[in-house]
Amino acid sequence: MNSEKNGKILRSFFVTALLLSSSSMVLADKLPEERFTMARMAIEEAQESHADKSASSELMLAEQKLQEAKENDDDGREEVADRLLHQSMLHAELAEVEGMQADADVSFNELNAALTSLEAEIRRP
Amino acid sequence: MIFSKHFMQKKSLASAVKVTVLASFVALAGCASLPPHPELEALQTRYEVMSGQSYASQEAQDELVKTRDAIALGRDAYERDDDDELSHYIFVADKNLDIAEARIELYETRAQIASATEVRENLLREGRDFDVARAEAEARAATADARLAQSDAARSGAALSAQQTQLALREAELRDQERELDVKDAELAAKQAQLEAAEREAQALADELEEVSMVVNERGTVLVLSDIMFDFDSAALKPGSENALNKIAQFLINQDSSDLKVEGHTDSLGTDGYNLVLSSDRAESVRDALVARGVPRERISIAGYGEDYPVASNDGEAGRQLNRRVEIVLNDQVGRPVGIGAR
Repeated sequence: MNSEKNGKILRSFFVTALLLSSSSMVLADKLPEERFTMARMAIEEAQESHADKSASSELMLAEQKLQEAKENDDDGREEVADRLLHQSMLHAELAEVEGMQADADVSFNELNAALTSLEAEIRRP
Repeated sequence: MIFSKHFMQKKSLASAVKVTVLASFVALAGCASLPPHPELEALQTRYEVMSGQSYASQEAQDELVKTRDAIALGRDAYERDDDDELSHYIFVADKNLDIAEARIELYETRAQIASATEVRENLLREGRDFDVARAEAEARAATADARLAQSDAARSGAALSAQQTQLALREAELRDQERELDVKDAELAAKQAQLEAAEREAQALADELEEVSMVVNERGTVLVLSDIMFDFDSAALKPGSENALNKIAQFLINQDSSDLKVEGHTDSLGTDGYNLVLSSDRAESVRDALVARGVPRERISIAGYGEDYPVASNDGEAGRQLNRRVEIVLNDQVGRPVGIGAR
């Protein structure tokens, strides 16, 4: 009985140890660094598309959430970090498109101005 | 949106478990269900509207797919009452729709840029064509101007040449006329000299002969033969008139360039008809006497005027004697007799 009891205790110990081990492994699991790298690249791409001027709020939120994601990841809150990282990249992507839109608007306005003067030049008697 | 494989694998596993549990719960709960989540429904509507746009599926395909998945996962979280996850997927769906809208707007703007660029190229081409057409038109106008100028010059030259020719002709005509005038002047001068000479000779003749007098009037030089050369009431010349006729004939022969007109006149005594016949007969007698003395007949014309051209009053004998006369007109300038009673 004792050996059986001891065996149960030993199994319980191993199971507990395994659970604790796996639990600590889960808690210690962090998001891969490449995810942060990709998020930073998304922000840099947005900056290159002049989002810092035309979509500064989105860009700022992207940077802020990237920072928060890093902090949460470091604190072991992987799921929260993952969501924040996901949201950071969405902000960066929107900032990039808005930056491109601003550039396109500038080009379009310049083109329209050129067209107006060109038409005036051609129709000049 | 980039999802973490690592996380997604775990989430897939978790979702599978959750779905199973949820399915079991639903099965146990029978027909029990949650009310629609307002934000999720709004996102669903927005997603469907955007998916219906013709080019959205191309320009924002990734974002729409991610939106659709996020809404589905959001519904799942809602059913599991996981507020954090629900909020996250609502955010993800909303943000993907924002990105989709931004991409569509960008697509539209770029399409407008392409269209404007095409318009600009057309305008530039039109401008180039216009410039070419204008240059051609200007070249044609210049050519036309040159031709016109050439034509004008030719026309001006021709007109000038014609004017010069006409002027030369006119000058030649004037020179001819001047020459003619000179000739005529010379002729006139000669004639005048001749007349003056004739006048002098006639005057000398008149001075010499009692029966003859001379007058110079508008008709020219006129020798007046008095009636004493004729028998009374007769056209026959008296024999005593021989000397005078000889000298008159010689004088007229000397004036060989002039035509002669012999005119007979009477006084007013007697009838007109008688006087006309008498005046004509006397003129004829004088002509015949002159012709007999060598004056060419063709130089002499005769006329009888009766009493129509008196040179003095017929009231007295002295006047009537003057009216009875034969005139020899040299170089007649008028063509008819002149006298105080001319009618």
